[in-house]
Amino acid sequence: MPTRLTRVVPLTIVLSAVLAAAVGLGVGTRLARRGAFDEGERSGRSRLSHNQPVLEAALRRGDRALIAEVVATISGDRAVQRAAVIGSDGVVLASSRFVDRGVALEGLGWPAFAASVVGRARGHRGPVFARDADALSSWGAISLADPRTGQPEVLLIESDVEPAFAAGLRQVEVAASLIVGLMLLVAALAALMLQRVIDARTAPIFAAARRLADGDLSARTRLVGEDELGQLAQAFDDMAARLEQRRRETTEAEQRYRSIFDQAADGIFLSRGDGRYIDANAAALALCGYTREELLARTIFDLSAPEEPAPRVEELRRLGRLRSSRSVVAKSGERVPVELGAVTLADGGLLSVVRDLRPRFEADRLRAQVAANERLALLGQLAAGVGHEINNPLTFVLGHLEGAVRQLPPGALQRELAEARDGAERIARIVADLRVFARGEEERLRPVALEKVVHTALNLSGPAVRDRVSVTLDLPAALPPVRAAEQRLCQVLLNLIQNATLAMPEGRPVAQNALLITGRHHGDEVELEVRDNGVGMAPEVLERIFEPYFTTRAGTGGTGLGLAISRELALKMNARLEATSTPGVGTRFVVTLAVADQPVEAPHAAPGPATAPVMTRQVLIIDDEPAVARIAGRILRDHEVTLADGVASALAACRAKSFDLILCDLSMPGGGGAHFYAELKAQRPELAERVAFMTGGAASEEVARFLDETHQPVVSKPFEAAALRALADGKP
Amino acid sequence: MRKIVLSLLACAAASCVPSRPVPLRIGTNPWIGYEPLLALATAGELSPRLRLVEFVSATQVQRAFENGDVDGAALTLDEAVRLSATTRDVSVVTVVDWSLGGDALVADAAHPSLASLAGARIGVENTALGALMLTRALERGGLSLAQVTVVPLDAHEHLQAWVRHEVDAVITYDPMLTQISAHGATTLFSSADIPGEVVDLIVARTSALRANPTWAALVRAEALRARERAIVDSGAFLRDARRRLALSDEEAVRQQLTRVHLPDAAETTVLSEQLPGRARELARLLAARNLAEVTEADADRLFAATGEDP
Repeated sequence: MPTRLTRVVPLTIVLSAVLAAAVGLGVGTRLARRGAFDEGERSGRSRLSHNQPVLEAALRRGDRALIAEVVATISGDRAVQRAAVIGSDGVVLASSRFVDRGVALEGLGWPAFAASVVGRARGHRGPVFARDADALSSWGAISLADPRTGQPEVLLIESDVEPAFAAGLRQVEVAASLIVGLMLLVAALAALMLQRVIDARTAPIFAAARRLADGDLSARTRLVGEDELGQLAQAFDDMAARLEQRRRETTEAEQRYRSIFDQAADGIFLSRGDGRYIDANAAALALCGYTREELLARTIFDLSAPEEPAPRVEELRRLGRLRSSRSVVAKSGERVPVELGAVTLADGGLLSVVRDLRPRFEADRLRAQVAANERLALLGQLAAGVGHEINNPLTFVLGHLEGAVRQLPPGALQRELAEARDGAERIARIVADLRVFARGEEERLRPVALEKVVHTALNLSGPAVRDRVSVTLDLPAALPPVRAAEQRLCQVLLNLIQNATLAMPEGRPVAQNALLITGRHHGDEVELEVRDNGVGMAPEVLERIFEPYFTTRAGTGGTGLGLAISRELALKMNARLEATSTPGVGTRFVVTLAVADQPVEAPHAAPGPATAPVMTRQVLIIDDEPAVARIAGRILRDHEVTLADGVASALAACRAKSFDLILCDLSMPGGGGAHFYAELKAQRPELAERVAFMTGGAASEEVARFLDETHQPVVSKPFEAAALRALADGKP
Repeated sequence: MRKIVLSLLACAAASCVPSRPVPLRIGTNPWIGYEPLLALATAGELSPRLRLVEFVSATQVQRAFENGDVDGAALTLDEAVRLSATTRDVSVVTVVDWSLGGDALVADAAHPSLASLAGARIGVENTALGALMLTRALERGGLSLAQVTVVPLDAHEHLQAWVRHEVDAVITYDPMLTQISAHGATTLFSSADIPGEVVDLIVARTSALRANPTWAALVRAEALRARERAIVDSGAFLRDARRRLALSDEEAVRQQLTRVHLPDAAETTVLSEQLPGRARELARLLAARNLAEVTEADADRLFAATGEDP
């Protein structure tokens, strides 16, 4: 039974009452005993003294019958146990038991008190007493003068004090019972009152405590009072207020941590001791690809790769924390490389923080890419510088070789010179290619019609392509113009077409070697897809195809620069070049370009008067390198060519006559092509429209901007004779 | 907590003294018929619920009973009937014995017959027994009460009066009967002449019997047990009885024993059934002789409590 406060007080009262009654009974018993003996002696004293004269008279008369009657009368008293008259010789003269007469006192077997008190009475006037506490009797004796013997006889009376004691004890018991009864009544009343008072005072505390236990932290007792319960209630309210405050702070902290948890870039998993997930943040869910519900139905073992078993919880508990690089098996089956940090929690659970290493790997890859690009740019810069120096001599080497091949009759010499010309052309191509990597070579991006570029590229690819593949075009008429540099895009496309051609398996009929060029418009972008059904590439090859000098055709003329250059060109046009391939099925390249925000510009009219006959035109060639000027003049020998070795002589020639085409080198002492163009525009504006610039490469930023602004044609050195003649003939 | 309460209760219980049962005090006087019970008490074998208080005479016994000093008394039937007139609070408990010569009218040599008693001084205890014996003796002798001089004497005065020649005849009983006979008295009439009329009983307060319903049965049982013991241990019985009755020798005790009949259980039952009738007769006698204003109803009341007794 639980101890209740309301029971303690009455119980205490009852216990006190019982204790008091017990003590009272003990003390009362002693007092009652003493009182009973006192009373026994009092009555014994009067009994002895009243009968003394009668007995002494009977003794004087020798009336033994009277003595016997008196003794019998005395013993008839309820309080008298025994009575006897003892003679001076110690023999019983009369006794309450008739059978005792004539027997010596010692022979009666009475208690020692009897002989003792008789002995004392003989030498004493008045009654003497002895108390037999065990038998609860009082022995009294008084001497009786006997003139016949001259010796005192003794009247002995044993009084029973037990009834008096019992009566006294009853009074004590009644008193004790009354006290206990009264105290029980008081206890019951006290319990009732206390119960009521405490119930009334504790009810609000209980109610508030229950509400608090149910989670209502605003619960208060609102109890006032200076008593203990009032103070308790006050303490309770204070506690509840602090609890509420603490809960608020905890909730806020929890929300803060929750927000950190939710917003953390790293994935955070919480799992129980048995590995079952109990929580995860958004990053964690994104990383593993599961929904929250799916994840909570799984364990850490489900997300661990078989070759990297999840660390045993006991192990973790021993270590306390763990940091390692491992994989998480995502829902898709992908092994996501992560850096894992795990700590065991107090409840045996596990807190795992995983960082997705893929962005870092991507960054590393990009950093490597940038470094490679840096290297390529350096290479390009070098190539541009060297190219400029090479191109001028190469121009006249090629020009003269071309002239010689043309003029010589067919034979061994002509074949050898033709081979020398092919070699020189190859040098020119390599130098031109390398220049792509040079910084500052950005070309102004203009709206470009994709269909035109595709046709140009196909035309330029020549018979080597046309004889090996059957090309299918799928270019919708509604394709919007793209933002690109036409020549570069053309070069990219040419590269891709040549690659596709080379990917076709040996000996397969042309009709089966399919090359599909498709244009698709997606929102702000246009995809240009070049797909072949060639041999395809293995993944490890596909991974490296954009690296410079990576080639699978080493020794067959491949430089390993084609795709690297194509991607570089695409980047410079803010375009993407991507490849997918399946070995044995084919390869797919996609160039993704931005849609142009303007229509395609109308092509420039060819320089020169539209009315002039095609055959003979006035051409001024300006170059500080006389050999270059001469070779250009030789290529254009069907026209009337004037040569100038600098800006001043050229301007003088222009002042002297008019020209249909003015070919001007961009890099010359004394201001170069730009200065000449500005002077000419000032002096003979009509001639300025007929200028075309020649360049050996390594054009500065300034020159590039100048060319962009003037919109005048540009001819690269070394010259391609056909291109130069077409320019002079006024053909596009 | 429970231990404390228990120890307190034990303490309280220990402080209480179990009071002795209050014994039924029965007053007796020297009479051979009562000796078996006294012998039992002297041997310490009497139930502690009974206590015998020895008085010197039946008169003293009656007085003690009337005064309330004793709860019960050994009395003759006539004494009980007479008592019923003065106190309604008395009931017969059991028959102890009946006299077969134990009560007698003895006379000196000058009065050899009942008829010769005319004009004689006859010492008589002023009791119903005395009246009954005197009445029956006078009837037998053809005398009337007026023809004799009645000298009232208490029992303990019988011998003295006889020795001092204060009386010519005395109606007495043992042990005085034996003692007086030794002084030359002759028995003219005895209870043997009226068998079953002089019956010794134990009576008690009706109220006391009702308060202690087992007392009556206890007294009956102890009386029968005392009879048995007296028969079995006759040596000790005779020795003690001689001293108590102040007789010269045990032969005298034996002689007295011949004058009473100690009934067994069956006899007790038979006599108990006759007692109410005898009591009524005695009541009529006492009333007729103006010895006591007692009615038959008073006599009947003597058996009310024992009649209720199971």
